Amino acid sequence: MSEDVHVLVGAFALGAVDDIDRARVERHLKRCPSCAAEAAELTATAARLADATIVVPPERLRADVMRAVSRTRQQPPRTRETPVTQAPVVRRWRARTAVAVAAGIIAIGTAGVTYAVQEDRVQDARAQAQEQRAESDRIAAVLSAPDAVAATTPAADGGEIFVVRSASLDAAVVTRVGMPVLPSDEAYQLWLDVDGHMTDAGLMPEATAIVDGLDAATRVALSTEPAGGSPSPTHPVGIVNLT
Amino acid sequence: MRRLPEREQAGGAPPVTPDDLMRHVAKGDEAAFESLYDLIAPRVYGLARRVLRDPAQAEEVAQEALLDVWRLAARFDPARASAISWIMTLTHRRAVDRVRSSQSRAERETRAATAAVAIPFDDVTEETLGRLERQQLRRCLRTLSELQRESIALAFYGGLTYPQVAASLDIALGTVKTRMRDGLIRLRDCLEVSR
Repeated sequence: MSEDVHVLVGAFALGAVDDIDRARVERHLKRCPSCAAEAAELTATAARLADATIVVPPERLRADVMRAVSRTRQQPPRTRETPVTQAPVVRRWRARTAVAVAAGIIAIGTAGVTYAVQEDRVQDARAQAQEQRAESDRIAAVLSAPDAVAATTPAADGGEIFVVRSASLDAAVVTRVGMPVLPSDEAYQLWLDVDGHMTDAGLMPEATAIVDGLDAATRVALSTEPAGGSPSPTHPVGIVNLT
Repeated sequence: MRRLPEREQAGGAPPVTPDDLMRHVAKGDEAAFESLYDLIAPRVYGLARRVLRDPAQAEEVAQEALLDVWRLAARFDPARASAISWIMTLTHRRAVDRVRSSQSRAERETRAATAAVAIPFDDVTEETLGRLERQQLRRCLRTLSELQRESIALAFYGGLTYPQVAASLDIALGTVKTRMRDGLIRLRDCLEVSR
C-alpha cells in the first residue's frame, strides 16, 4: 500500500472520505491483508465512538421498522467470487405497462445521476449529459415501446442493475442504481451471453446505457474491469436474464 | 469488539449477544431481528441523531439503517467484524450519506465551521445503557492529543470529510489524515479493540 493511501485508513475508518477516496482505499485493502486488518480494527474502534451517543428512540420506530421488515426481502450472500457462468443472481421478468416502465426508469435514472454528480463532478456530468442527449432518443424509444418489459437484480458490490428490454426494437436499456463510483483505472463493462459465451457489449461509463442487437443473447451481464475494458469478464457484478 | 449486551440478564440464562442474533437474522428470522432491535436501536438512533441533529431525520435514517441490517444480514461476515461494529458502521454511513446529499455546499461549509468539537457525553438520556463502555471510552479519549480528539470527533460525530475537518481546524490535509489514524490507533490500544 502506498504511503498516501495508507495514511487515509484513519479517515476511511471514520467515514470521513468521499466515494473516490473510499474506492481507492478499498482497492488497496484487497491487495494488502495487514492493511485490511488495521482498517478493520480502526473501523471497529470508530464504531465504539457511538457508545457516547446512545439515545432511546421513540416507541413508534420499533413498529415502523418491524412493519418494513415484514415487507422487505433479504439480499442473498455476496457472489463476488462466483464465475459469470454460475452467477445465481437472476430475477423474473416483470411485465409492466410501457408507462410504468418509463416512469420507473426515469425515477431510477435520476437517482443514479445524483449519485454520479456529487461533489466536484458537476462539470463532467454536464459534458456527459450533452453526449447522452443523442442517445436519449433511442433510450426513450425502448422505454416507451409497447412490448417493453423490466427486470432488476442486486449487484454484487451493492446497488442494483435495472434492465428494460424491447424485443421489437431488439435493444435493452441498462441502468446502474446506487452502484459504487469506480476509481479512474477501472470501468464498468457490459456483456451479452450468446450461446454460453460472454461477448463484449461495450463499456458503461454512464449510469444508463443502451445495448443494441440482442439477437440470440440470453443474458446481459455487468462487470468491473481495468480501464479500457477486457476481452472477457473478470469481475462480474450481476447478470439479468433476457428471456 | 465483543461486549456484553446492553441489558443485564436476570438469573443464570446466558446473555444473548447481537452476534448470536445475527446468525438467525441472516436466515430470515423476524423474531430474532426484533430481539436484535432491542439491543441495538438506542445506539443506531442515538448515532443518527448525533450526526443529523434533527430528530425527524434521525428517525428516518435509523429506520433505513435498521432495515439495512435486516436486508444485508446474509452479507455480514462474523470473521471480519463484530455485529455491533458492522451495524454501527452501516448506521454511520447512512447518516453521513444523508448529511452530505441533503446539504448544499454552503450549508456544508457552515456546518464545518460551526461543528461542535465537544465529545457528546451529555447527550445520553438513558444513564444505565452502555454505562461501562461509555466510561471506558471517555477515559480513553482523554489519552488522545487535543488535535487527535478534535479531528476524530468532527469526522465521526459531525459527519465531516477529512478536508472539511482540515478547513474547520485550519490545519493541513496531511496533518488531519495522520491525526485521525494516530488517534484511532491509540484509542484502539486503550479500548483493546481486536476487530
